[in-house]
Amino acid sequence: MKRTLLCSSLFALLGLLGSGGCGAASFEPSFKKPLAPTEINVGKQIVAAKARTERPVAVGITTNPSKLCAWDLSAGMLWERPIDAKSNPLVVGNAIVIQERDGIVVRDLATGALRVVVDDEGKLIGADGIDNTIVVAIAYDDETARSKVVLVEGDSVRWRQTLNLAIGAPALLGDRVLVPWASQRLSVLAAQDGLEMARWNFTNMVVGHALVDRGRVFIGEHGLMRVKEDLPDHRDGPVALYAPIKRSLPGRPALMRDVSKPVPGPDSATNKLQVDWRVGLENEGASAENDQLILRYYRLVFGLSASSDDVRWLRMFDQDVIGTAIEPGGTWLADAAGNLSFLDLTGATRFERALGKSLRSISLRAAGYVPTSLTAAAPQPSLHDQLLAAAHLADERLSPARAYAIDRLAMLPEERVTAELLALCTDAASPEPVANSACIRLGTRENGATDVITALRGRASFLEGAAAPPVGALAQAAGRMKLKQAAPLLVSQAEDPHTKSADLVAVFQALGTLDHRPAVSVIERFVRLHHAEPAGSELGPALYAALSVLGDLRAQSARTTLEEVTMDGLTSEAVRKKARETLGVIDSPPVVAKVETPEIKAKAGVETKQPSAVEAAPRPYSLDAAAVEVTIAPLRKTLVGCLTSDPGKLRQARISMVVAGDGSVEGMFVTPTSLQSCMDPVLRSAKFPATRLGRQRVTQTIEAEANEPVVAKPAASTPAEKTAAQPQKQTLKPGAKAPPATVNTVSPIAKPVSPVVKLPTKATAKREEAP
Amino acid sequence: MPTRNHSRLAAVMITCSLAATAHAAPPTSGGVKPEPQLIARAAPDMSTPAPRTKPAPIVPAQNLAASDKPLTAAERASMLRSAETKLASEEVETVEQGFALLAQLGGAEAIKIMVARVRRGLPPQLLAPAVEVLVSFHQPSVAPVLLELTLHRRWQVRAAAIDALGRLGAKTAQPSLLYALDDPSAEVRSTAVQSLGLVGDARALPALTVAMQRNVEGAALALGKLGNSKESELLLERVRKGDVASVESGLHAMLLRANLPLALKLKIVNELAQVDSPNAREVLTVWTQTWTTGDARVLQALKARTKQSEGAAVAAQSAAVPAKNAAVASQSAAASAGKVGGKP
Repeated sequence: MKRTLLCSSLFALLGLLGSGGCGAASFEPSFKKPLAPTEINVGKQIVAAKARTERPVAVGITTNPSKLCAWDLSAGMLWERPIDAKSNPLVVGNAIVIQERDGIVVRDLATGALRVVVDDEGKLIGADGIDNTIVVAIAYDDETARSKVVLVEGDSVRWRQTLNLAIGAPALLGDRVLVPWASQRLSVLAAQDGLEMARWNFTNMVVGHALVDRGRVFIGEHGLMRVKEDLPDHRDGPVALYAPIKRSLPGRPALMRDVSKPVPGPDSATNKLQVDWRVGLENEGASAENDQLILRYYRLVFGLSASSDDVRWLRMFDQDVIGTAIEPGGTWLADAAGNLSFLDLTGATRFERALGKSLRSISLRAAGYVPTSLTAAAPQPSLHDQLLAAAHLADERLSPARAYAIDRLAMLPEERVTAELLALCTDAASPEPVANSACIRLGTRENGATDVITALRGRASFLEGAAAPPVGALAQAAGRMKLKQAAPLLVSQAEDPHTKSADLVAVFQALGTLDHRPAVSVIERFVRLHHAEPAGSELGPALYAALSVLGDLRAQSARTTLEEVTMDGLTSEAVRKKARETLGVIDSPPVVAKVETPEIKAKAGVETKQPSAVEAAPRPYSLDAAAVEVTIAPLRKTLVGCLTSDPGKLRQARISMVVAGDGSVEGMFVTPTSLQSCMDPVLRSAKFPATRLGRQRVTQTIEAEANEPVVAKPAASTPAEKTAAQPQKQTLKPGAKAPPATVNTVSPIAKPVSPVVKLPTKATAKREEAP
Repeated sequence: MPTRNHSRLAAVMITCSLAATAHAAPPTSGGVKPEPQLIARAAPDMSTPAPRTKPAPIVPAQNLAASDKPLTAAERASMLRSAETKLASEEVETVEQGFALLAQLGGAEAIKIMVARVRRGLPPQLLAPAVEVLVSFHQPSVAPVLLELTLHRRWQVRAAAIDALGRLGAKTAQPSLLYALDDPSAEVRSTAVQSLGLVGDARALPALTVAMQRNVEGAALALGKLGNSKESELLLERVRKGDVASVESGLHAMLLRANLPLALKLKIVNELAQVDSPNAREVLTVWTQTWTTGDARVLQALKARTKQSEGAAVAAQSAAVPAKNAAVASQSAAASAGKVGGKP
């Protein structure tokens, strides 16, 4: 009995295999290359696909009652059928692939009739098709990452192939099926029987999608690579993927759908929050169609440049936009109210049609169709007006997009933008992200001085019900604009208890930037009253900023307070140290800016030459002793002054500096440490030549002149005496020659890494071509 | 030789001790304004309070208080030096001991040392006790440093300084107190109106009027202390609207003032009596019962009006009882009728 049962089971299994229910085994752990066709030939077969002739359609799922509807973009509604949809519909070939209550099904595009239930257990990952041949990728919620790829021909499944790793979105190329899997692998299967014919493992990119667009084949996920004959050569090493330039966008939408998750459901928020783009026909697949990236954020649509971080236009709709299709010359959009429109490259609506149904989701496949009777483009508001209107939209869901609009608005040079940002920043109705963005951007403005001054004149008043102006942002703006008139107002705001502690940092810094010496008494009082704040106090940053600014302003009148702070046992060590540093800065000579004479300027003008493209790298590889000497030479006198003015009558100081790749001094350590406070600001003003090597350590020894007359002078004890003992008053003996500084070591700290693989520029290409 | 008020010293010592050891939660915005001692004890707002390792050993007040012998100049100089040394300590507790010593010693030198120390800046937890010591000197020379503390970033310090200025009777503080009416902290605003009530003059009345309209606590009392007929009318306007509680203190202050005309006071009493609400009757009763000083004619009016109000209340009550009984009876009758004529 048992034997009979076993035999019958075996026969049934063999019969199933023989009948074509499953193809030959593919996706085995170790892939054995078939003898024919060879990998090279398979590679050649997948370079291009036949141009597809597809119907321009929109397939959507309506709201209550839930129906699957199809429209021909050029003709109108095709059909509607009740549906319990679990995913968005995918329009492929002459079919619709969709996850329904009963499983993943293939429906006929022309009638909506059910062709076949592909699977009743898995989740739809992706699909592609040509005419009636459809390939479907399915994933299962097993503990193992079980997946399946199924090929449907007409009304039946031709074959299924299972794999135990994650699967991506497949593509169909005539008799070949491209299946991305395990994030990095791409297999080519025979469409006839599912036999795996070639397999490549990419170590340099994520391969989540395989797609065919206008005869071209692409793979990738975070960018797309066009499949060419040399595909096997690009499995490792640098790879040039095309994607619109990266930028920070509200909602952080992915460039392409994440195939580790199933196709989203019809009510998923991702349907309303997406970027849409398409590889253009120009530039060998290294450009975007229309050089445009469409950002959908509920009812806002941004037209972004694909090649630069620019907003070209912005449109606001009454309903959420849930579907797009990019075509040369414009973009199809469909909203939740069932309005279909075609926008040209300026964002102007050129065609409109009502589908007549409220929609939960929609898939648009324009297939190159652009309406022939386009209406004349209505004049669009300026980008400024579009951004400003979006910034003011009262819709809680749109806060991140409003903040983004504000960021872009702030980049516009119009002076009125400052006042507009101010209004958004102070509007009590603005949600926090919107107000924050406006306030931060207000601080970056470089014009609109009148508005800044007017706002700073405002004062918070409980009795009058007046709110405090955004003092921090205004202070930053005033600093950037070098607004001297703002300084007294900032002083007043600094002492107003309504001014937030966090804003005091910007206020003090602005007063320093504006070199407003009358502010010293207020800053000094702030330091005096608050220097003993406990560690971690929210006043800490303001306290440090105040101390720094007292140094910057060379506030000799604050010396007594600073000295008391350094001696106060109730003050934290960090604050005392900062106060000591400030005293050092006050004592150090002010850095004198080089004054260019007209002759020098004129000479510089004559000698200025635009570097040619070939001479694009004039930076030395690293700093050498000569370069260091040239940079230090103008400062030597001051540094020697520090040395000789030290009460210890020091003869030598050793400086160890860290110089950044751009030539700026990042940090230093001076021995003896008593000279640190004097030499630090002097050396930080030094600008070394920029290098290609990057960060370097430079060690320098400064020696007092051998014949420097040592004046017998008692060490300064009182503040007045210390003031008198300022190093700037120490001068070298006229005619005395300063000894050359010795460059002990110039060593790289970290080897620069070039993480970006760049396509060859014209300049390098020229060089390569040269014999 | 400075005179020493031993009881005052003891009080200051206790205040200092409390301020040094206790950490009360800061009062919430809009809450009841804490007593000065509570302000002194309040932990610093905003961020972490400075850690305290052990309770502050305070110099026992009774040691000096019990001694009848005045200090010699040398002893005093030595104690001042000792206090100065303590004030320069890294230990919070030692600094507090220095405060206590200076409070005990009093006198120009002690004030000078104390003022200098406060001006140099102190950790937040020492500022409130320091302010209390400054107030204990009862000298106008401490006002400038208190005025400077009204600019402190911590509201507790501002409130303590403003309160101290009021208690010191520093007339010069009025501009700072008016400025503080706009403070973001409700406690500071409330303290400012109280201090204005103590040291302010007619110039503060417009701001105090707005403060009352904006419901700043204590503004009505300050108006009562400083205002005249115009302000009394403002307060009575509230009474007429049935809001007796918020202006009662201000009206009471007006009744007690010697520099207001009798007619105005009688008008207040009459208006209050006319309101004829339980609150108004209670206020009249309390004022009558607690009357100690002031014009006897006002007391007479208060008594008359209280009696009249009580009589009216009793009459209203007795009129209300039969009406209530009648209503109950009619309800019962209706119920009985329902029962009779209801379902068989």
